[in-house]
Amino acid sequence: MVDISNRTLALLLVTAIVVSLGFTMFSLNKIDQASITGRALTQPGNVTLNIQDATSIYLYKSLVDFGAGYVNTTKATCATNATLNASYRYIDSNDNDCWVGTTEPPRPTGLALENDGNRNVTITIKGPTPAGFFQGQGAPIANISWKSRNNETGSCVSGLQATFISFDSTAQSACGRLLFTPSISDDLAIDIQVIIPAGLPVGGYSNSTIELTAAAVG
Amino acid sequence: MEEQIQQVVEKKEEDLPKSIIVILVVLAVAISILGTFTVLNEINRLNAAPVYEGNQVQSGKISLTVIDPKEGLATATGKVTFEIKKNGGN
Repeated sequence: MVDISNRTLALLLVTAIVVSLGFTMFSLNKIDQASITGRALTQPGNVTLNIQDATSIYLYKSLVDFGAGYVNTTKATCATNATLNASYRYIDSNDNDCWVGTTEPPRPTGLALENDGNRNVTITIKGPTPAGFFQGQGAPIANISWKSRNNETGSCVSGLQATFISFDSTAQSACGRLLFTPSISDDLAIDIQVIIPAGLPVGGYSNSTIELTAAAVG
Repeated sequence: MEEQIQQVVEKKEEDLPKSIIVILVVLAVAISILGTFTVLNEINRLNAAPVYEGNQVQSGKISLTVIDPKEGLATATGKVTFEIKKNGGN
């Protein structure tokens, strides 16, 4: 048998490297273009489906903006403050219209979220203290509070916080068990109430964030 | 005869050293392994079921702006009315 020279061996190896690289590139290219082109020749088949746990909420109404205004103290009922509720509807001081502006302020309703996962969840809410929200102004009248409400019948089956309580900058329980199914019962609203004292310094008042957190529950 | 031996020796001297061959062999094996690994990895990525990643935390915002009630009232208007009645005696 004739000995192969090192030069020939080197040439063969370089060829092997080039071929290897070429086929790798070719394979990757083909994989990217992969699509279903075939058709089953036999009809029976098995489908395996694994549904993973998903704990998820979607805050589809995330802004409550009371707009720009002032407390109309010319009305006797508005002498000390305006109490604004962003609830299933907007309520201004028992409909006494104490919060007015050069243009009509918006009439916001509450925050709203959906359990869009596949687990029942508890909902906690964390927001600013009244002093934090009003930047230390307007005490002791100034207040910001919240309550939770079934936005769809039977959404929250336990632990609904049905009366207004002040934010205290800690995580507070809004619902003990918010259902994920049926889809007509998986919606929770968070109503917001602000009490704006008359004579509050001119300026913008807002929180950096109100955080709603979901945790899976049985 | 001596001339032929001399030619063979010269030819051997021109040939590549074994170390080059070893390097090329190692390179070929490494590239082959790397290529196979890349292709398998890509296939696994395509076959993997898409994972739904929901949101467990959502954020909202509340805002209001207090304005000056007298804002924009640079001028004010008033009205005085009176009525002159005929003296009943005349």
